[in-house]
Amino acid sequence: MHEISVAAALMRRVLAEKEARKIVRVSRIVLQIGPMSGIMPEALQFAYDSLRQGTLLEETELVFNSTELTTCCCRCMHRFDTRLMHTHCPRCGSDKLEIMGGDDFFIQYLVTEKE
Amino acid sequence: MSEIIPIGEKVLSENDRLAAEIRARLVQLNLPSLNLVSSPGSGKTTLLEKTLAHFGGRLRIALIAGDVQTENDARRLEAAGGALVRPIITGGSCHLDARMVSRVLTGMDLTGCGLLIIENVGNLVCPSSYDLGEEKKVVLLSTAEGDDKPLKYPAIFRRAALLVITKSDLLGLSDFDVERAERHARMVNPEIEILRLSSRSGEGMAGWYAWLERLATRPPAADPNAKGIMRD
Repeated sequence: MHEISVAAALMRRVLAEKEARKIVRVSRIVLQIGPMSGIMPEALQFAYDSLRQGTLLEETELVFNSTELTTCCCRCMHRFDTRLMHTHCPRCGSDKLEIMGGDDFFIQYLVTEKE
Repeated sequence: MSEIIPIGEKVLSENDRLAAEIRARLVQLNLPSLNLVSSPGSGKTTLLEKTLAHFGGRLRIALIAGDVQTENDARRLEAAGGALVRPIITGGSCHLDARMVSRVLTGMDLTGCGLLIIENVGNLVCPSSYDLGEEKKVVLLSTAEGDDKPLKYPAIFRRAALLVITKSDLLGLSDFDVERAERHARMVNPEIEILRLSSRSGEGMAGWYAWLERLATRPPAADPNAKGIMRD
């Protein structure tokens, strides 16, 4: 739902970087995004595609590096990585789980072209 | 020839910078602050009305009430008396951001206020991405909703310091299992504090008032990060 404002913030950030470093062309923006970030990659892609038309980023591709959640079972201490949240430990069945990480949402790097 | 330029910065760093400025200002004023988040209809405004009536002149509360349209909430809260109320009409946006809050805060005379509460737009998803510079996020979940909401919308439950389970007077009338809801909330956030209350019946309200009072009367915080920001 809020992906339009997120896409706009992302574009402002990248355009500022482009100007500051006098980058001729940004071909790719690579984002790291976790399942707990509250951002839906498909919706962000859609918002970005609508906004980039007619801007200096029109040809710039968005790439998502999706990370996983690390879940730890408080009973058997089993640790596992998943994309979707589990309600029970796959090893011992306990529902006493703790979720770690997966909040990340940042620009990892830009791929730029010299010519 | 391609070149890779590492950035390693949060996408919403622009919002985060503004939020840090707000936070530094609030620390300077020694003004505790809350960002209240929930789905539409879980009882944010009603809880605030009761809260304002309870504290009356004893604790002056500054309130920023966000809504997509209408100033209805702000009017209701103003009528409850005793508070400095300012509306933010987002005009379609599903969340408040630090820029909106900063703009409103600039025009508020916070002298004599002991607590700032920001009532976010009713939405469990988008507000979780936007830091408003508040000290703590409070998430409300009503017993008329699903007890699996903390798992369905983990981001906000993970970032909240307190979960308030509202409409406790309706427990037993639906399939909402309060223990299960609490277990789910602790699964995504083991540190989260939890209160159960009903603004309508008054049940559990004393716990909420005590929680707010502890926050409002605590000694000035020594937040090293905030101090760093003020030095700049």
